Amino acid sequence: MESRHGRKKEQAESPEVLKAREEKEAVLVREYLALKDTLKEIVESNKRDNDALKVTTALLRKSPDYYTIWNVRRTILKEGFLDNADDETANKIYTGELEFVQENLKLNPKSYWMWNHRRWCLESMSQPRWDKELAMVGKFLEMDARNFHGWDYRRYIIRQLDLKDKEEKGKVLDRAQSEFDFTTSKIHKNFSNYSAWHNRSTLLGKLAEDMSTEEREAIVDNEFDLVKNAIYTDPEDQSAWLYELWLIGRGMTFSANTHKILHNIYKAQLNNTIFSHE
Amino acid sequence: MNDETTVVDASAPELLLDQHVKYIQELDTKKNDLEYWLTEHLRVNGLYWGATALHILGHSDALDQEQIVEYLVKCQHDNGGFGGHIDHDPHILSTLSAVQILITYDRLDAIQVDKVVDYIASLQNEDGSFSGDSWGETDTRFIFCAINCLSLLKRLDDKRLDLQKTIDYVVRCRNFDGGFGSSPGGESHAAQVYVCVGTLTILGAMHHVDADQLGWWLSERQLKNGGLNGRPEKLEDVCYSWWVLSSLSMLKRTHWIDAPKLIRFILEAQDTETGGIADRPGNMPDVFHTVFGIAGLSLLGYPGLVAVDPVYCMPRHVIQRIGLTEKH
Repeated sequence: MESRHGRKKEQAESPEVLKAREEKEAVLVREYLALKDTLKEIVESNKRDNDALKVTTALLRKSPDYYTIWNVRRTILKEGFLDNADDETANKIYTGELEFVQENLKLNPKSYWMWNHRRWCLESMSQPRWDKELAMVGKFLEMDARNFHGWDYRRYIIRQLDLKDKEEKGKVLDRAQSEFDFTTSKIHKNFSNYSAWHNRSTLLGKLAEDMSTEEREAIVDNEFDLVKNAIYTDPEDQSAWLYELWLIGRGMTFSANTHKILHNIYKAQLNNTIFSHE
Repeated sequence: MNDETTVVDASAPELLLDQHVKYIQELDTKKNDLEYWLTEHLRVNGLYWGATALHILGHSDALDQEQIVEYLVKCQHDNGGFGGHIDHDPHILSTLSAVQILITYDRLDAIQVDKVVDYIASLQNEDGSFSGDSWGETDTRFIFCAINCLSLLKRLDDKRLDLQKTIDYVVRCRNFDGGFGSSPGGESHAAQVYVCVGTLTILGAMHHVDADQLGWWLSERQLKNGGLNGRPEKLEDVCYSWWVLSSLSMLKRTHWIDAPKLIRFILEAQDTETGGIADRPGNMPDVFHTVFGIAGLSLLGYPGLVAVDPVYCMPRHVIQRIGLTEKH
C-alpha cells in the first residue's frame, strides 16, 4: 500500500488542461490493457520464451505490485530457461534478474514483491554473492536510512551468511561486531535513526554472550555514552530514550557498574533540564 | 451504534458521511484512470475496505450484495485460496478479505469453506509461521491473516495446525521496546504490532505481552498535531489511527491517547470535494485510508457510527452474530 501514501492533491485545473490530461491518460490505459491481454494469451498458451518474458518485464515496469506477474515470470524463467540450463547459464539468468529488480527497486523501494523476487533468485542460485547484496542494501539505506524493507533484507543477508558459517563461531561474532559498527555509523549520522538503535539492541545481546565482566562493563559504558550524546543533541527525539530505557533494564544483567553510570547520567540530565530553563 | 457521549471538539470539522458513502459507491466507475487498472491486484481487499467502511457508516445496503458475492466466487481458486481479482493468483491477503466480506454479508454459503481451510493449513511452516502463498514469503501479517480467517470460519481446531508453534513464533518477533516486527529481529512497527497482538488475542496468549510497556510505546505514536505515526520519528498517517488504536483497545488502554485531537486529525484528512479520507490533510483520498479513518473514529466512540470490532476490523454486531466476542 506504500505507493498510495503521500500523494498531494492537485489544484483544480482548467477544462483545456483537464481534457489534455484525460486524453493522455486514455492512451496509457489502452497501452496497459493491451499488454494485459497479451499476458493473458501467454498464460493460456503456456508460452515460455523470450517474448513471454518481455511482456512480464513491460508490465512489471508499469505495475510492480501486480504479484501474479512476478509469479508468471518465475514460472517462465524456470520452465522455459532454468530447468535445462547449465550452471553458468543459470547464473547469468539470475544475475540479469537481480539487475532488473535493482533498477526497479530504485523507483519503488517499498515494494514487498520485488524484495521477494530478489530472495528467490539468490536462494535458487548455486553461488549467491551475499557480499554484493550487503553492499547493495547498504546503498539503499544511504538513500533512506529508515526503510524497513532494507533493514529486514540486511538482517536476512546476515542470517544467510551466518548459516553458511555456523561451524565457525569466530566468523559469526566478527560479523555481528561489524553490523554493530554499521549501526554506530548510522546513529552518528543521525541520532533519530530508530531503525539503527533497534538493530543495535538485537546485536548487543549476541556480542555480550561470550564477554568477560570487564568487557561487558566497557560495552555498557560505551552505550550509555552514546545515549547521552544523542539525548544532549536532541532531547525531544524518542529514539535514544527508548533505547536507554531498555538498556537500564538489560544493563543490570550486563554490568555491575550500571548503577553508578545511571546515577551520573541522571545527575547530568537533571542539570541539563535546570540549565535549559534559565 | 455509538451513542452521543463521546466528547468531540466543537471546532473540529464534521464527518462527511454522505460524501464518503458516495465516494465508495463510485470507486468502481473510475475505469478511465490508469490508477484503477494499476490497483487491480487489490480489488478484493478494496471491496473489503469499502464494504466495511459503509457498514460502519450505517449504510450496509449501499453496494449490490449479489454482485459482490458472484464476483468473489469467481476469485476463488481450485486450491481454496482467493486471488486479488479474477485470474489473479491466490494469496492469504485476498483470502482473508474475501472471507471477511462474505461473513459481513452472511453469505459464507456461496463458497467452499473446507477448501479455504485446506489452503490456509497448507501455508503453515515448520516454525509455526504462515507463508503468504505457495511462493513462500513469510511475515507476521500472514500469520494474522491465517489465524483471523480460521477463527472467523471456526476452524482453529483443525488437526493439521500447530498453534503453539505459531504463538512461540510471534513471541520471538517481540522487541526491546515491547513492540513486534515482521519477523524475528524485525523493527517494531504499529501495523505489525496490530497483527501480532491480534493473533495473540485470538489465540488467548496475551500473557506474553507487557501491556504497560507496549501501551506506552503505542501511545507515544501520537504527535503534536493529534495524528499517529507507525514508528518513532516518522510522519503521522490516518491508517495508524487503526493499527495503533485497535492494539491499544486490545490492551485496554485506548484512553492513553488524546482522543479529541486524533478525531480532529482524521476529520481534517477528509476530502471535502470528493469524499473519502487521505493519509493526511491535503493529500489524495483512497479507500484504504477511508476505512481505517472511519474505523478509528468508531473505536474512539464517534457519535452515530456503528461500533467496530478491534480484532477483526468488522462491525461488532457481525462478530457478535457469529459468537466470537468472548475472545476480547
